[in-house]
Amino acid sequence: MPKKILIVDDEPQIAMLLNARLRASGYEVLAAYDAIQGFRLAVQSAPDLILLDLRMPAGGGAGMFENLKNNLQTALIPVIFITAYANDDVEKACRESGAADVIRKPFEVDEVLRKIRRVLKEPDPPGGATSPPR
Amino acid sequence: MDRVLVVDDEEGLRSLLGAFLRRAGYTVETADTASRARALVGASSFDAVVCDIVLPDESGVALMDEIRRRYPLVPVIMMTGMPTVETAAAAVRAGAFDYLAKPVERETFLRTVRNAIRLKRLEEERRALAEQIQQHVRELEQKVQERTQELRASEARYRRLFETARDGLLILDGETGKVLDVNPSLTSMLGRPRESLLGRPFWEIPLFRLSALPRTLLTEALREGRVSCEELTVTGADGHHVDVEFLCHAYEADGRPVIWGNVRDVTARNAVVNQLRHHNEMQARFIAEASHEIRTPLTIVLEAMRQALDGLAGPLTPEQRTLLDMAYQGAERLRVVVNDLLDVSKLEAGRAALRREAVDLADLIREIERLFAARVRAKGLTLKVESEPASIPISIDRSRIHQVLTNLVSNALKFTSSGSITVRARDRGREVECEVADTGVGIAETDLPKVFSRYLQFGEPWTGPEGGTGLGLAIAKSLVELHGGRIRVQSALGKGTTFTFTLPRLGADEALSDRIEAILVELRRPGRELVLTLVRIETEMARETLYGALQKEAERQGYAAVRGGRGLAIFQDADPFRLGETAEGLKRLVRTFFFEQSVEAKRAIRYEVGMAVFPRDGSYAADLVGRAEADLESERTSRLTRRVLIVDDDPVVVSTLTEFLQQLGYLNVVSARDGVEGMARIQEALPALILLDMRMPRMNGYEFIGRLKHSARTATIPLLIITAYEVEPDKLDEESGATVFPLLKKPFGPEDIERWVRFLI
Repeated sequence: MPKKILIVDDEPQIAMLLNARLRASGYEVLAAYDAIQGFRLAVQSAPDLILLDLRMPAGGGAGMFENLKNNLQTALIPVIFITAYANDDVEKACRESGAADVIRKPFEVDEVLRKIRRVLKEPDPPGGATSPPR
Repeated sequence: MDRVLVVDDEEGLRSLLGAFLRRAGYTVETADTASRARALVGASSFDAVVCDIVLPDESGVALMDEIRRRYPLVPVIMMTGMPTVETAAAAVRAGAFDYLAKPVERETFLRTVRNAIRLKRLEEERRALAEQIQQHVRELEQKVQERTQELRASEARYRRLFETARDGLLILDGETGKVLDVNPSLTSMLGRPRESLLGRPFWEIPLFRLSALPRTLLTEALREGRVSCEELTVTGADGHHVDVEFLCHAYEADGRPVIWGNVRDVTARNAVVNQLRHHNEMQARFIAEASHEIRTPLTIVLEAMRQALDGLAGPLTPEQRTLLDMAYQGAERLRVVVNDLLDVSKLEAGRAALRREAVDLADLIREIERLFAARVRAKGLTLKVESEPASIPISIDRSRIHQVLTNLVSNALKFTSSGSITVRARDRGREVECEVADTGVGIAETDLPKVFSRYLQFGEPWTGPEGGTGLGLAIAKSLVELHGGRIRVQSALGKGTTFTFTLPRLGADEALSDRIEAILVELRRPGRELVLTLVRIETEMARETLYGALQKEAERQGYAAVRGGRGLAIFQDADPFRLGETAEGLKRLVRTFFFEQSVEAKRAIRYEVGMAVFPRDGSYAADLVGRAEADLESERTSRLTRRVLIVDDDPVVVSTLTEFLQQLGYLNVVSARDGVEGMARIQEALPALILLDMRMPRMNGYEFIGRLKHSARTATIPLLIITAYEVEPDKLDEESGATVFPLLKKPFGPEDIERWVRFLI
């Protein structure tokens, strides 16, 4: 059964492109464009992993993260933050608060896939995400 | 031959005396009357005149008077037939050399004439000498006058310089610190009339905002001959601030020390520097933000095209694929450009921190070989990779050195159309050397210096067939320097180019460098500077605990502090114009800390302190640590060569103290047996510290302290009282106006001396 990934990002293009790439890589993908919708989907569909944009309108990624961690149904779902405003400190703070990983924007899709596989403890496909840069 | 005139109306006597004289070798003229004698005297010169007191026409005295008036040197000997005391006395009073009584006895007569002439000769010589002396005096006076005129001209010149100099000028008495003169520039800078400044000790004048500085400045100027302070602020009477540089020289005038101070207004210069700095920061920030804004949509463009190319949106016709490929390549190039710009702006703004890790450089270059293999093959070139030895472990930021190598190899690939590219790494012990050599077009010698420039566009179009920003080499240079390394280039047109860079092994303290790097990124503010104080504890016992305690203490006082392998770095954000003050504050903190710790631990703690200023001493942590370490070493040397004076009448104490000090490495220890001798030692050269006994013969410690405090030159020399008795505060107060001095009770141990000396110097 394919692993289920929830993407929460207020930039629809990013969400769409990730959606397409993750589906092509064999995942089942759900997408939400704000924190409220994202939290509802997380509770309803119990994904295996959440890709969460840190800065979004309506409560933002950090607020949604709080809610996820305070909810029994969602507390154990690994969360990878995606953020355009990261520096080492932000990254450290995210990790310390319980994020599984942090991806800085703009990202390479290969990097996202690699990190997802690591969090889900899946092996890298041969010649896949570690293929040399184009 | 001496000529003698004999005047007498007695024919017989005349010829007799003439005969006496001629026979004695004189030339003789005779006259029988005063008028004839006068005629003879007028016609030629005589060496002596012998004259009867009674002459037929006139008195001999009158004749003598006239002769003596006209020829003051010619001695006249009077002869008289009736020698009485009165006439004799009258004759001598009237100026006769002598008088002879008739009948004149030959021997007496000749002796008298001889004496008279000898006297005349002596007098002539005396006068000649006097004249010579006069002449010399006149010449000297002439010279003095000339020199005076020259001096006056020179004085006028200097006065004019002094009066019209744009710098504020200040002349101080080195003994008292009183203002001897100020020029108009300074008075207008201070907004105070000259009269209100003259004669006052200069620390009483609100000249510097720093109140502690001026007195030590004076002492230091006298000791070092020259002192400069770069960052001072002068406050005018109306409250406006002027940034100044202060430089002073000490010299001697009429045996007194005089200090010449030069106050330069650098407000305008500072404003320009700040503006430039601000401008650069704004520019760097703008580029960083703009690049970021561009990269996000670019990621979308690239990913969208890639998904289309990967067939995720359905099959493509060959024409569609070709077009999409072109678009993808173009967007990819754009991504490289934006990344380069972002890197450069980060590096320039000093916002790049290194994340060092253990890396095998041989592995890294093999990775580069794999990365470029396909592209090198596609151009028909060969790529060789050599490593010597086969494994080169070093602590570097892997991704950044990867980028350096990528940039250099990309560059080589771009300008090489046949032959080979070689990447070599060599372990040289303290550093690792890496080179990228190609057999390409080469670079003209005149263009070589421009290679690493951010703004280059020379000769052949730099962007070449594969695009790029031309920033790759500038970035490579910055990244290598960020690691504390160097990069250089050698090239021959048509033969090829070799880039060589080095990466130093930082040793044990790269941990510190890295933490400093991280803190720099955090702490830097536009227009501000950071003072970095590096503290190294050299005592091994409880070192880690001490570092921990010092770090805690620094942080408690509001400083940022980081620990490394070989030291602790304390930071303070500083106003660039008050750096000196900030540095002093930090030093005081460290000194006080170790003093207290050593009291508590009942043993001496050895430590050294060095400082560096960011970004003045370098923009990278490795530079700063290097600079602070160099400063630390030079501080140690200068501390140990400072003069220490021991004043104690007990030779055992003196030799014990001297030995302790020499064991601590102090090279310049002198001693005195009492206050009087102590003052003499101070006159020879100002000491940096005085260890003082209180009970001494001749001049005791109280009086000695009083004398020291009396002169501005010596008032600030640190003192340590070493005594076996209680110190009487009243007596101290009476002598020096102060009651609190560092005090060490006898008996003392070497650790006490070390603790105090370290605290006071």
